[in-house]
Amino acid sequence: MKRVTWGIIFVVAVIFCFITVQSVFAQTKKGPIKIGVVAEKTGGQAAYGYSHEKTIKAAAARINKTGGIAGRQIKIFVEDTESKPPVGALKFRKLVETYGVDFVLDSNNSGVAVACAPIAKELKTPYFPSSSATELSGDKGNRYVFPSCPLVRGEAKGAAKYAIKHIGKKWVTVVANYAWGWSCEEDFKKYFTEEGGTVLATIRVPMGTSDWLPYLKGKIPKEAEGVFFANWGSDFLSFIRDLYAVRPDIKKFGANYALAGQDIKKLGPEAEGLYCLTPYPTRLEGLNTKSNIAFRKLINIDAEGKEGGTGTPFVLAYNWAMWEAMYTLKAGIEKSGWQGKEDTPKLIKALEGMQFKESIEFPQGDNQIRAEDHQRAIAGLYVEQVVKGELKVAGKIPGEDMVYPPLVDYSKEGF
Amino acid sequence: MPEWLTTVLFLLVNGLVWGLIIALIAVGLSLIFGVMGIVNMAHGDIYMIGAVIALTLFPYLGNFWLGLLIVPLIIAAVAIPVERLVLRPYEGHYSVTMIATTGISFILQQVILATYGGIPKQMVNPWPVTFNLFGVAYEGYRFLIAAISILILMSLWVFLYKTSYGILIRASIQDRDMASAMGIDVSRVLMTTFVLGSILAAVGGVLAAPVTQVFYLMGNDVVLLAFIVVIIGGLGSLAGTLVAALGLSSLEGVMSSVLTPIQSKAGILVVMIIILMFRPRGLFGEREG
Repeated sequence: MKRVTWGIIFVVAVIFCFITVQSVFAQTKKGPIKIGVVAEKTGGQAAYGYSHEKTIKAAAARINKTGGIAGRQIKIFVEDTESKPPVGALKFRKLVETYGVDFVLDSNNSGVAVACAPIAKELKTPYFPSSSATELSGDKGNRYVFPSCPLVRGEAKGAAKYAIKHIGKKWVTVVANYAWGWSCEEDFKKYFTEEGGTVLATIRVPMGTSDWLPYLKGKIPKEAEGVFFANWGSDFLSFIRDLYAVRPDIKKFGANYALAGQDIKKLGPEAEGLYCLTPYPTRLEGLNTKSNIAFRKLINIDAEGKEGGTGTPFVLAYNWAMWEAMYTLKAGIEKSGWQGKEDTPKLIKALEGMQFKESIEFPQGDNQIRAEDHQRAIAGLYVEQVVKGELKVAGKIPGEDMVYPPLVDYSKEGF
Repeated sequence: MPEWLTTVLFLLVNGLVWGLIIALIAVGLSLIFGVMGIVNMAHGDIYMIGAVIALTLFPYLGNFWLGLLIVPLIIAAVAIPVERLVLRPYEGHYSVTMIATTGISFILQQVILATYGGIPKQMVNPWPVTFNLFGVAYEGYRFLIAAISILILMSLWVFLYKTSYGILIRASIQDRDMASAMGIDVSRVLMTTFVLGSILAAVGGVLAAPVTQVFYLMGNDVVLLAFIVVIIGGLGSLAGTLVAALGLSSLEGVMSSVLTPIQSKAGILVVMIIILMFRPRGLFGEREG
């Protein structure tokens, strides 16, 4: 009797193990590809998180509708970073360790992205942030990190060249007092000086400042022709109002993000003539290609950059980068034959050096992932300008004006 | 006049103007703390709610000043049940009220984020004139805010020091138990004080809306300074709060003429520490016992 009991237990155990192995095997081979998103759903960058989440889900829906990636459907998991680095890092872990995601996309917040980068390597999970922190292709990045958009150094380099050629030679910089602002200030100053210009003063103002007058009055030299500024949201609105009160004549050139989500018609005379960098024009007329028309239709954005249904300005600064990141993954997975986590090194090697052509999947334009530092070399930047209360494309900065030597060589890094 | 002097004079005047807005908000905070023993972490968010309501009502009313009259009524209608149902059980327990009001702060911020959205908006300036103030095209509306704030603060002083109900409030600040023993309806005084303090913060928000950006985190810019002002002025002292608000705002402005912005903000904290080292109860705070 005892022998029979043990025999039954043994058979049940074998069947159980068989079923478990089968289901795990089935999951890895045929289950959905899980993509995590660390988005700023609350906090200071909530408008960006909303835009990116919507765009990523639209891309996922389109990909799934056309058969998925390598025959597998995509499942999206979204977590809120609260626009805070410690929270973002925690949510990254949660996505990988609790939900078992295979890849992670987004955060636009530099602090969050830099905090998540080492975790991506630790958990061997490729990460595609939408942050522009230069360090992500430098000492704070690693082989698992693929920045999806132009980085501050490249933007500042291109901006400096454009500024001295088209606007003036003596400038002041005014930036938000955190990592992104500092990068904009330091890189703009470096490249502007190399081009023969002079940065007369640098001003750093804490984020969330309502009254900028104390920080501008008496601080901008009379001979300054232009102000290169790096701020956004409420800081941007307060800044241009108070700068106009102090120096209505001075030319203004904003780093990327400055005009994101703003209703240009409501900005008033203080914004008239303002220049602003962007990798993606707000209005359709700035990039009137078939691919871009189709892309904007899919994410329900009208020709003026407003969200269909709500009529509110949609943040278009980097959501296109998240759309393209989804298709980058698709291309990399299908090229490398990625099936599961054990194939991630193959996927990474396939992505390094990969080139993409302008299409509905890559509406911003031709681009390439640089093998050494994973930096995304894009088609170039646009300089938008407020003209009589409307946003026009005043000029373009070619991609080659943004290029700088790699700071690292990840190809020497192991997995 | 040398440029450095015009800069300093400008920063002094600008600091006084902002100081009056901060005083409005901080006086409300001081009242609530002094009478009710509540550390109201949501005070900055009430300021924000005032601004959001004003901005939302403007298209329907077509008049900024009507909004200034209506917002206090709305705030009062909300503050009464909050005080009665959420805060009344914990009055006098500082740590518990901090947690409770932090929760209220979070709820307010998320409700506004979900309904109003995350993008900052500007309120139309109701008096779009500028004056040349030491070389700066200074908005005339800022002087108007200063005048209105002075009017409100003077009215508050009259209410607190020249009316019988004001005496009840001051008695409750001084010694709540004795006030209760003397037959004062302390429950009603507490509710009135919370409503009054909230209205002051909300009115501050409405007035500030045309000169700042209205969005769900705008309260964070003022609440820290408001707490510093209340502490330096002396907990429960309205005169101290006013003096501290004007002094600190002006000082921060003048400091920014020689220091970087972050240094001048840090400088305010240094001033607070120095004052508290010599006057632990604040400039006008009363000694206990």
